[in-house]
Amino acid sequence: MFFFTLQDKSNPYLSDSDVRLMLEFQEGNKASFETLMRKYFPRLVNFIYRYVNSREAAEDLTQEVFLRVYKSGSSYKPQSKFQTWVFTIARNLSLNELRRNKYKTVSLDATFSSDDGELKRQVEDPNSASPDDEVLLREKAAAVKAAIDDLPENQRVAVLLRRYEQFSYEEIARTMNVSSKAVKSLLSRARESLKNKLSGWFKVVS
Amino acid sequence: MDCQEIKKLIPAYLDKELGPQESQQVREHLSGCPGCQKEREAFEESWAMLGELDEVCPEPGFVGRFWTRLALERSWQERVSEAVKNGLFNKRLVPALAMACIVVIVGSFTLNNYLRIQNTNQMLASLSQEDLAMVENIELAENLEFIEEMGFLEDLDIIENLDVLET
Repeated sequence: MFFFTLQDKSNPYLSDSDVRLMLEFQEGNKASFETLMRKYFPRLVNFIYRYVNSREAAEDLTQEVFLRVYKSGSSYKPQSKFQTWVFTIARNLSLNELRRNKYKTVSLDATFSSDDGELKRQVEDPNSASPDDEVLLREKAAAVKAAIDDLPENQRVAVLLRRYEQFSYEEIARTMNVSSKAVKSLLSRARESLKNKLSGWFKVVS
Repeated sequence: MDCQEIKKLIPAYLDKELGPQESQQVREHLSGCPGCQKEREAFEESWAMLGELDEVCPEPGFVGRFWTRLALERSWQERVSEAVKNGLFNKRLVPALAMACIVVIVGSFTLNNYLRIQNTNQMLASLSQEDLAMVENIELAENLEFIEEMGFLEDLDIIENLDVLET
């Protein structure tokens, strides 16, 4: 089957090196699977973390993604780029997790925890003078996070895939199972929203 | 296109996801419209700000934990099925497996034959002297029905067909 697939020149996804690794895994090469896992798990952990807002869930769901990939190895057929496929699995699992646990989105003036303790958001008055640029930078990052979290789910996914994974509109469309035109509209509205929420921070700290 | 329409297209324009015609229209509009140029800068700046979001670093040992979890989640059926897939259907093992099958079949026949001979010998050894004398005098026996009723004779190879004795 592997040789048949490789000879199937009409399949455009065979030029994707990750698809070829997956086909090698299908032939029993576990090292190829591990190569894929090592390449993708940091990206997936970050994508899921930004999506569901829970670090613990991010690691757990990323493992679940690879369990799905592993188990579907025998029936795998390259019908998209590998990264599109794997992020589709990640998105679906994350969506289920969000529906199950209903993680709360964070309000712009809520307190939040960072590695160094608890900070107070100051989005209402981003230009207020602070002697500590580091604190201001953290607040800026918190504002960014809050602005992303406030986006509707489908806009948020589109933004995460475009901004942090550099997916093309076509790849986002495949991952989200919508048209490219819909992606264009989602990103346009999302970026308008982000611009409005973050404009107060422009030039504050660079 | 008016400014409102252009504004909606600016994100896709910045992402280079517009067709050549739309892209040209946006470019031309931006070059002559300071308000939309400002919008474009705001879009770029807010998009760049998203880079401020910290990356999370996965806990060390992710891969190891994955293999452990996989081992715990796999049922015995999956393990057997994988062993079959990897072992029995491995082309390199086919000659060895064929040889093993032949050895098992030939061995079972040989063992069966050996056990039958052993059984016969044990039975002969268990016969009393009286029974043996009777066997030796079978030719002299006048009543074949009597011989047929002697159960132990049925097991003896010596008498393969009692009908012969009747002739």
